[in-house]
Amino acid sequence: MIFRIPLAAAAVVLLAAGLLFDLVHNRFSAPLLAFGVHPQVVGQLERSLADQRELAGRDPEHAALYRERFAALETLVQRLYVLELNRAGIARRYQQIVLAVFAALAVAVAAAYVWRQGRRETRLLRVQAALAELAAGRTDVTLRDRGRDAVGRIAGMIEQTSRRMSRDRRRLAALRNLSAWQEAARRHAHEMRTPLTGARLELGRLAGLLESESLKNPAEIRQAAASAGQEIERLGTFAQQFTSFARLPHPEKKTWDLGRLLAEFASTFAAAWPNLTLACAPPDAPIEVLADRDMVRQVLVNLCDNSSLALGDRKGRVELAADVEGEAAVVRVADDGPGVAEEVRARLFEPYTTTRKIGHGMGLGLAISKKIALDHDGDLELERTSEEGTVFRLTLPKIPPGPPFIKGGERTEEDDA
Amino acid sequence: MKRALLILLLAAPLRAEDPGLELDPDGRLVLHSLPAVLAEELVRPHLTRGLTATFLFRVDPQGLRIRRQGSGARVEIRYELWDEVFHVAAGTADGAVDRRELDSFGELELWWRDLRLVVAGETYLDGLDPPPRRQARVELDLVPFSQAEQIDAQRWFSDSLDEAAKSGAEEVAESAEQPAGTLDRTFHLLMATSIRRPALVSYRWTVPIEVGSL
Repeated sequence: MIFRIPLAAAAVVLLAAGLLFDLVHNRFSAPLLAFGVHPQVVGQLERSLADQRELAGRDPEHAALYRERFAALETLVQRLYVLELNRAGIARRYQQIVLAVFAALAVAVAAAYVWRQGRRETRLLRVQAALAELAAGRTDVTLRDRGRDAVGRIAGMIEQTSRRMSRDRRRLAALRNLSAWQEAARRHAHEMRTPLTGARLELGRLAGLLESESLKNPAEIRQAAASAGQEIERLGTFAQQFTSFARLPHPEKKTWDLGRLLAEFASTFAAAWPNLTLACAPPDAPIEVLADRDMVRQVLVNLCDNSSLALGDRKGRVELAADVEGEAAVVRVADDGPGVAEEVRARLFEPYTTTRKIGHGMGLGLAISKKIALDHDGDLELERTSEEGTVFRLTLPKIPPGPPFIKGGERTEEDDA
Repeated sequence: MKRALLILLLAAPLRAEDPGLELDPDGRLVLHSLPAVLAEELVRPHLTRGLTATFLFRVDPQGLRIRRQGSGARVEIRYELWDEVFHVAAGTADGAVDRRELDSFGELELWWRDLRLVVAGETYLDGLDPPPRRQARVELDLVPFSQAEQIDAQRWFSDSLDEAAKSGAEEVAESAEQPAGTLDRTFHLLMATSIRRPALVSYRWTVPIEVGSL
């Protein structure tokens, strides 16, 4: 590549030299020869002049004709004399023109080289930007560089890589979707099979009691019927969970003081989890957020549920803290549990993701919580997790300070004061 | 080597016997007794080619001021090849032009020798005390052809280049009556304007100013 541009420049110069040769040969040399400034030519012309005079003397009748020819020859000879006297000047001018043409060509080649280098630099910058986009995970990178050189080929490879990444992602998403559905089907089947089996057994026992001596023991019949009813109730609860997930209500947002909301939650739900102690660190100043209080509480309940279940029989502590980060209000829910298993971290917020045994939860809690956070124009993320505990980060949009504080969407004199 | 020597000779101002310079009673500077340069080897060939050879005289006097702007004189000599006569014209600083027809080179030389050229029409003496030595630097240049002949040759040269280029293009494209392109025309024009009127031979003298009966 190092030699390619000089070679191209040399080719251009050679081409120019060829054109110049054409110019010299066809446009200048030939005419110059045609002028015949050679002394012999001039000598012949001078002899012709003398001949015309002599002819006029010998043939006086045609003297006018010879005179006319003489005049024409005389003019030609005189012009040739003038050329002869200027031969050095004409040659010098010709050299100047050739030099100027070569200089112009050299400038043109240099300009073309500089332009090409500049264009190459621009293309390289585009390729660099495209690589940065690719590294950032974008899969719709287009360069439209159809050059046949190395830069063009690299651009083509980047686009090809981008397309492959896009295709692989779609395949991966499809596979994940399928896996999720398989997992969901497995859990649904189990969740439905257990109460159905229980109900079937109880109904069979009830039928047996009715056919034999059952009438003598109505208490046992009632107990069997109640047991079957409980299993069917479990099915109903299971169906209700799906309904809740599928029909998450739209948040009814109102302005709340986040610190106060967390304090109320810690107070209200203090005894909800026997193995958990709830603590709330009040913020330095009120943090106003626009949120649906019940839905935010549901997120906190889900997180505390997970912490409680992860602790098992062990006692633990959950700390709630509110803070402001830029334009967002942030709630950190930190526990001192065993941490989130590594294999589920990547898809922690996807439905049916759980480490619990089948029959001990559907793995919908964090998915619901994430959906609630997103519906609030915020987010729910796993900030950090280790064997010493886990911190979830709930982001909510903060109301900028200025207007008077409105609690629950209505102005109150107490709060204004 | 000969060519280099010739160029050296042409480049260096020549010296010939000094002309005479006289301040006449009317305050005019008159050049007379012109040196016999016409017969010199470097000059004579240019006088018989049918072109208008022009001798340009310039005078730069010391101790004397020229009242009017400009000074000098010019002598034009054109040999008529058919009639074999010399057409001469002497134009002087006072605006006079003397035209003649001379039959031979001998007559031309005589006429030249007897010429009295007014090279400054109106002068006055410097009022310096003591008065400086009165002398003048006289320059003579021979230009081998006139401006009209130069223009004619330029036009002919350019047209000939055009014609030759056209015929060259016809050989290639076999297309007739195609006018020369702008690039060609520009090139031919540049070439044609390289034809100038150089002074082929130059003489320099410093001569005393003879003061007439003032």
